[in-house]
Amino acid sequence: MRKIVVLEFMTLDGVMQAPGGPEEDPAESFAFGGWQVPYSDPLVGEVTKKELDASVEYLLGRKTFEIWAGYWPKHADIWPGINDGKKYVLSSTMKQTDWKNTEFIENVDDIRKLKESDGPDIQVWGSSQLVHLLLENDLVDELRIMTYPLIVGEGKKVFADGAMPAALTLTKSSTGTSGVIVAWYKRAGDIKTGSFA
Amino acid sequence: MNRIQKYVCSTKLEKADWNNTTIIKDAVTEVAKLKSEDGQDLFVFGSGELSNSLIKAGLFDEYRLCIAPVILGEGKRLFAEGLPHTELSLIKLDQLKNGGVVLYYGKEQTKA
Repeated sequence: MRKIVVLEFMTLDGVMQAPGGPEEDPAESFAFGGWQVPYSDPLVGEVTKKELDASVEYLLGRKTFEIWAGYWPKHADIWPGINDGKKYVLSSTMKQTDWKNTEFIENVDDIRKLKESDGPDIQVWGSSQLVHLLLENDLVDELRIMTYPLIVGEGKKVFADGAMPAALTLTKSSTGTSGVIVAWYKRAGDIKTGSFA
Repeated sequence: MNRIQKYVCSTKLEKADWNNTTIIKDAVTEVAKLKSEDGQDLFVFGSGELSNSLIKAGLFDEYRLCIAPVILGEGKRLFAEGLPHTELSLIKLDQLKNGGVVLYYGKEQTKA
């Protein structure tokens, strides 16, 4: 069984849309594209580099895939892994691409099969709709969330209503010089409830 | 908690029996006035709707947020849609043994 690891750059109010620049995802006239850029931070650099260098495969939503397909083939020096690595893209409409090592899948059953097959762990970056689907179906094993110290008040979110209730273990947390918090979570069983009353 | 002064923001509540409680009708105006007066710092606990009004009005000086390591998939949220773009500065993070994290944020320092 492979692990599915979700990695997100997120604002304090849970938004993940267009962290690296307005052109990444201007949907719904999102006004704050590039919100991550002013917070240059050695911790984020170090954490991201480690993830980019990992021997993994990738599962992406169609929109994130299209953003990446327009960028990473031209920037292979920064992240050779994403060009050489296997990419699975969830889409009901898109069937082909020029970007090498890409396979299209259609539904949550395909994701389950992928998870049950032999192979390296699977990273998910961005891809809010896909992440919602994974959380609804309890298919996420780990979350690595980089939380930036700002509220934007609009935009696509990492966590939506409808996620399967889930307990997690915080395996590690770190604070960067810019105020970014990196938190590593692992899936850990059902939610337990109680009362302070 | 019984002894200290409590301000309750409500347009409906007429009276409160809990001692040392004052009812405020216009939260934003009255909280801004309270802030400008001498006295102790004001703490807001819970109070999702009030917090969103105060965030919109830029009346919070600090946030102390405890994040529990659970995903619920439903429920009231602290940060609503439509809040103004607000930059904060992280004061510190405490990692708790039970997997919670406590985040302390202040207002962003005005950049020179």
